[in-house]
Amino acid sequence: MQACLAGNGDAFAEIVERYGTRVYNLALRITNDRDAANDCAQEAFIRAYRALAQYDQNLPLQPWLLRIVTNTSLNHVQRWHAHEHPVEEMPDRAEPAELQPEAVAIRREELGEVLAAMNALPARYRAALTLRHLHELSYEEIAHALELPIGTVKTHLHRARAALLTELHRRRKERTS
Amino acid sequence: MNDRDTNVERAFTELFQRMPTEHAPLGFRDTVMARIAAESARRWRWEWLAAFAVAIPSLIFLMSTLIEHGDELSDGLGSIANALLGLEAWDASTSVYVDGIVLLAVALVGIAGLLVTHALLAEEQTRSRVHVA
Repeated sequence: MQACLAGNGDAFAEIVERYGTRVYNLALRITNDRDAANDCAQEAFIRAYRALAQYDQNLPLQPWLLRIVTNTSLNHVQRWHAHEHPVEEMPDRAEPAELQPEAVAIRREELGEVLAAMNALPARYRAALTLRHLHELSYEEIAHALELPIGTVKTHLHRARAALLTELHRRRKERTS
Repeated sequence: MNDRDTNVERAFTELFQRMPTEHAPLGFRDTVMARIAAESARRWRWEWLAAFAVAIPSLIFLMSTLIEHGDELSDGLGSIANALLGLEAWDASTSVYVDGIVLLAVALVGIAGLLVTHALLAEEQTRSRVHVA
């Protein structure tokens, strides 16, 4: 990053190369559309480039980039999927038996099912889950990325996990019946 | 956060880590860099436009003034040069008359020059950062 700010020709291209896949995958999880994810990821890097001068070099780069792509992707979803379920409509908690560590154990062949179940969740939940469990950001970093208080992020994550498990169980039941 | 919540968190993290990730589309980096280069070029285009808008009328005016009053100017400058070299005495003819509009035109050409210089420097800086082929 320092090299990039100093005018090193290949530095920003290297940043795009290094973080491109991570940024693209986060956009993909939030938008659930490859073309939109590609657009959002590109837009995020362009915004990052524009904001280079304001970037605090003492902070890690990845959460900053993920924050930008989260905002870009959520804005995209908001523009194109205004009819999505508002967050308040999602279940507050799963059945006690569902929110157990064992319930999260998923067989390899069921991973695709998890992705499909995730797509039934609101974009904000998808973003929170991906930032927390795929990119392993702290609550504070997620709060910063989603521009929400930490307490709300914790609530979102709790509800998102519950909603994901409920959706998975519903799908399993449907499949077995 | 109790033990069960920690275990649930860990289980979810393990689950997400196992989920398949996709590579960014082919040519992703080049597309991003090309878009940045194009955007940067657009950003400086207005400076070129402003410089031309300011410089062209001023230059036309200065050229027409030079064609019209070129003799007076060269006579005046010649007298000043001779006076400086001590070949002639300083008198009323040892002067060049420049009116306010000519001064304004020269100033505008100067401003246009600054704009063009800034645009060129900024473009060069962007090119070196973005590494445009």
